[in-house]
Amino acid sequence: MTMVIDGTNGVTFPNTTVQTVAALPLTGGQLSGNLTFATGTNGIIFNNSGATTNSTLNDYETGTWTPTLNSQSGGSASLSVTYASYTKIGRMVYCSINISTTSSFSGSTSYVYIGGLPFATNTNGSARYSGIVDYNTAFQTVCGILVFNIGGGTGSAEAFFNASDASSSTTTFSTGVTTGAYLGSGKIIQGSFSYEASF
Amino acid sequence: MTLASTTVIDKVETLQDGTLQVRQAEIITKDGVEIARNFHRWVRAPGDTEAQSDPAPVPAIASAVWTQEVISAYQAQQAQAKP
Repeated sequence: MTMVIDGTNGVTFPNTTVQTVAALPLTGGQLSGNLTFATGTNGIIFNNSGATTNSTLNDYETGTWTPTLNSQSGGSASLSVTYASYTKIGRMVYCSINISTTSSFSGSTSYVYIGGLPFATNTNGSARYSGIVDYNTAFQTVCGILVFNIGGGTGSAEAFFNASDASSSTTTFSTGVTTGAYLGSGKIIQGSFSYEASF
Repeated sequence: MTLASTTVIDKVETLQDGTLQVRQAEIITKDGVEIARNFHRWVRAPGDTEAQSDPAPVPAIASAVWTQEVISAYQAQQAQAKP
């Protein structure tokens, strides 16, 4: 026997609830099609909390983005982008980059950052996110470990650099760093970072 | 068999502070049937002049959303929050 739900009349259960949702495309007990949610706020609700806002998985997306290399005081360099991808799961964004400069950095190198992030960051002023630069030929002579520093509640899409060496005055490379020596053409920066988007 | 590629802005998200999150989709079709869709994203902050060079409908949305009040509020927020 086949039971057909026509999408209008539905099925009336003993408690008088009428279920009108179309049947899932099941084949042999397995889903044979895609589940598409009607709105961006719909998703999969995990039954771990009464607050469904905090337990609803409502987004997944992969793609590419275009990194830029800038400084907060208006400097910049042209880039060749070998790879720049993102994966967004819920509100977490995971980014990976492999870039190289195709021109020397012009302008002040104070507060150098990667711009062009695919999503704006969480605007919570206390939020902080980070990532690691696993290979770079740009700053290697002035710092050991170089990390990304994201957040600060700006809501903007920028990943600042932080050096492990306090003497290189974290995030500020203007001290002792000359454009030609450290941010010339052909410098490579590779790494990854993650952060929370606004939603 | 005909393969074709078209590029469209398929999503523009407006955040509370006026920031626009833009998604561009490259849609690959085979004989008119979509077989792949690749996304590329960027963000435009209120007052960002580059938005006017983006594909439609980004410039129109930016012009509508970014009132001087929105731009001023965003810039004030940025001035406080930057490192």
